[in-house]
Amino acid sequence: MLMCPVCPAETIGQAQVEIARQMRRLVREKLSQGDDRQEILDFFADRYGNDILAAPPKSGANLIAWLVPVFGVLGALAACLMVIRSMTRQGAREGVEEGAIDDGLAPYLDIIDRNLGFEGSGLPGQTENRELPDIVSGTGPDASNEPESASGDAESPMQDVK
Amino acid sequence: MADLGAITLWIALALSSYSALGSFVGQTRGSVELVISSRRAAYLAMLVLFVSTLSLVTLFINRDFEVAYVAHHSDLAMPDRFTWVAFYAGNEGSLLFIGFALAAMASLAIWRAPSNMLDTLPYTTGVLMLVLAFFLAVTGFMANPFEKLPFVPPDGDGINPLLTHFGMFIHPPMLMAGLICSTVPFAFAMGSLLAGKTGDEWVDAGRLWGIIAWALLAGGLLLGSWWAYTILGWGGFWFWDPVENAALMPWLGLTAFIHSIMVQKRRGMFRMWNIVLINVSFGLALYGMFMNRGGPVPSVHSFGASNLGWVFLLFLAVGVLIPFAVFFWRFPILKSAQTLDSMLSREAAFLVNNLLLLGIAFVTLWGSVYPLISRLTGEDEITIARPFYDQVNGPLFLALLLLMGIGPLLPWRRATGASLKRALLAPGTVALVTSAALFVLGVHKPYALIGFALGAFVTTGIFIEWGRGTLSRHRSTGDIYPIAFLRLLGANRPRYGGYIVHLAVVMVALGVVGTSFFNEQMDVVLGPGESVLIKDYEIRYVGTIEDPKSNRTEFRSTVEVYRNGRLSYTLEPQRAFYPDFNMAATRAAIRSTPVEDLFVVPSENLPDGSVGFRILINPLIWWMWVAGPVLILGTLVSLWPQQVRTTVPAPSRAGRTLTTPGTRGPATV
Amino acid sequence: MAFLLAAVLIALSVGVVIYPFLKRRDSVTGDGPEDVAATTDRDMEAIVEDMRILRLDHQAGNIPDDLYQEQIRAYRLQAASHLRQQTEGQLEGADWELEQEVLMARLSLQAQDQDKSAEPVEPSTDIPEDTEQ
Repeated sequence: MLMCPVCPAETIGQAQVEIARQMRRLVREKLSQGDDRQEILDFFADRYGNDILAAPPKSGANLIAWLVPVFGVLGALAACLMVIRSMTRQGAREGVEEGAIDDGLAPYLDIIDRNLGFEGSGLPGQTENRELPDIVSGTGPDASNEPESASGDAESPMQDVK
Repeated sequence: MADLGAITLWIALALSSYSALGSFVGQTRGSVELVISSRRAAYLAMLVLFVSTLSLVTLFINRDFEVAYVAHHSDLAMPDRFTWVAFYAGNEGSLLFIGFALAAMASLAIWRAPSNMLDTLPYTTGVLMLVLAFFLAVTGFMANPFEKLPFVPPDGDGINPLLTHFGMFIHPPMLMAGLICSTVPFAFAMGSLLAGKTGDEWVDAGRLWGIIAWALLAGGLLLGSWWAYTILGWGGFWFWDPVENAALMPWLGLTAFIHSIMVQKRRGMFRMWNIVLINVSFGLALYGMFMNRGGPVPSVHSFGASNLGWVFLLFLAVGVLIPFAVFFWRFPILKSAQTLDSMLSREAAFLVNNLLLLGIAFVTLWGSVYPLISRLTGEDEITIARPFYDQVNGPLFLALLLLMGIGPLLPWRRATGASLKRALLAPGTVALVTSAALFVLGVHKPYALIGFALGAFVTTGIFIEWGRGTLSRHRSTGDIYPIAFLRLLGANRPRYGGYIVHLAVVMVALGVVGTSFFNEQMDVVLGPGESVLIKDYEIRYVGTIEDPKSNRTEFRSTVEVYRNGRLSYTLEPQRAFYPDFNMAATRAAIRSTPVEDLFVVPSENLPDGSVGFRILINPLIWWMWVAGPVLILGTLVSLWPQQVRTTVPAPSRAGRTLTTPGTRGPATV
Repeated sequence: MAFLLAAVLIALSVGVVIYPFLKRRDSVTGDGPEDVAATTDRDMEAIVEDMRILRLDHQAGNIPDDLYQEQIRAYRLQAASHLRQQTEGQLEGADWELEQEVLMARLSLQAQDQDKSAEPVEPSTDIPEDTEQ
């Protein structure tokens, strides 16, 4: 692709001025004569300098223009992956705290279970064994009997939040 | 009126300076009165600037040509509705607009700041007011819209014809508002650092305003593309012009920010990284404003020579160095609460997302700046334009699209390889089938195949989750499917709003891939009655009406479009020549369908009545424009406040229950 | 006319700036006991929200059952611990409720006089005479 020499930042395909039209005609002529893309680009670059090209030629000192971004991004990607790997190795999985279930916690577990629909799901600290109800919709063995919460909302707080 | 405008500008400068100083001093010295006084001064600054803005509008409506700015950007012939556009047609008005926008957004942000930010709010106010004071000072001292001419000219210069398009009513203000809005999340972050807070109090406000700034920029960029497409007459929508790039980069930074801020909200991680990210985004926004107001690189956006450049450059330097200094000062206290559990997690995906976005920003920055570097190091100057960006950014965008499909399938903390594979099965299959089908249908360009396949991949993933959720809700609550879906959406606004935005991104990708790889173009001169064939259209030029007006000559051409031998419709492309500006503005005739656009624009009107036409077929570009409203919808859904109520009664004394109505902060993905 | 408006605005600016100094009062900022309760609110919010999102992801098929069970149980324990900490922290001191009410009264007086943006932290023990669990 070639830049229009007199317009601020347009290719000859974009520009509407006469010189751009002439250049387009010239390119079409050359194409029909059998020149390939690189030959045409070289032709213009020889006459007008490298800045007529819409992108730097991939040779010589100008290769830097291409290499810096490519290697920069690849390098950053590699660094990122290494960082992730080191972070995951080093954190021996710091999971959610799983403290011992002491007796003092029992009434609180009870409240949580009742309000968030865990009742009777056989979780530690419970007494019965039943299936884990659907938390999102608040249905389950006892959820339909839930007394109103303070907000007067019959649904479990895990469901719709308005 | 001009005096009122000028005086109010100085009042606002005084108020914002006082507010900035007072906020910092008041909070560090513990003077509550000073803090309150400074906060109110900030609110008042907005009111005062509103008066200032109205003054300028009134001056335009009255066509008060004694005021230099009005004389330069309007004339007696200008219809009143263009007053809005004329306001920001030049530096002086734009800066006043930016100042007012910042004052308004700052006031709103401060007023609505979450109540857990009492300690940090004065610092946030200080930062906001400092930036405002800068802009007002530059406006007042260097680009004052209320300056008068030594005499009153009989008529003005008129408004730049390129600005008289509908898109210009929204694109520049939206872009400017978006750029300056990035100051707000930045100020919240800075405020938190300056107050010595270790934690995540600023995250909710940061997310809210980050998304607002992001959406404003996204809208501004899309509108700019749309405007370029319809007005500039070459059927393209993105130049990789240095000024465009300067607006794209902060948007990329903000995209990264609004994603990684979610990790901080959910898991208290990335605390340091988010500060760095918002600092960078703010710096890029300043750079964007610098490029717009006095940049050294020639561009379609150049507002003419300006000496504002060095002032902005200075502020840019300060605006980058000082925040980073503060960051390093507070570095020790910014440890994250958690560590990364696994590479297969949403957290890790966000990290890669950030990397890709910043990578694209870096490539864009490099491409904008390299020509300058090559100029300095002797040899010849190099141009960097579309082919460079296509080859380097193209793959990055595709990678981002891929990540957009995989990310939502990853849960927080960790997933197993097996579960991920299971989740990828359906979307992956659809993607492969899509590309196979397209290949069979004749699409052979690899990038296009990949692009379409990835679009299918992302879309399938989103629809599957929507389907599953809706089905589950339908089963448990008995709601009919549409209601179940809406309830699902309502219960998960940030997440589902995000999905809607992702769909908008896929639509943009669709438009970009379709137009970039499959467009057809023809430049042809037609005499009256002549026609030309392109694809399956026959375009027949009928004639042109020449209509001289007061400040321009309009050429309205009529063109008939035949398909399969029958007349389908008539198009009326226009071209107007403005002798005062020695410029022509075209209005392309576009017939747009979801499949493709037929685009006809006159490039020259020859004396013998024939017209040089550019005819384009742009497949799928319709999707890019439709993506705009979809994106806005997604943003609104995402920002719609969602109370996370934790009504968990606890055992208490005296038989009373303890409820904790939590209303702070939105839920997140 | 324009100068009149300008004069009004200047006077207003001066007035607004000076006013807080003329009406001196003390303010309550920083961590009081009510802030601790409020923080715990947010933690509880966060846990409940985490659970909800976990559930959503499980439903969408992104998490295998075993991981899901493991994490949901852990959250459950965490929620219970927080609830305990919150309740027992507030039950300390016989006069706690009285202190709370005094504080609330002071804060609401303040809220009436100050800006909206200086809103006091919502006291979390907004105790409705409602359902007994």
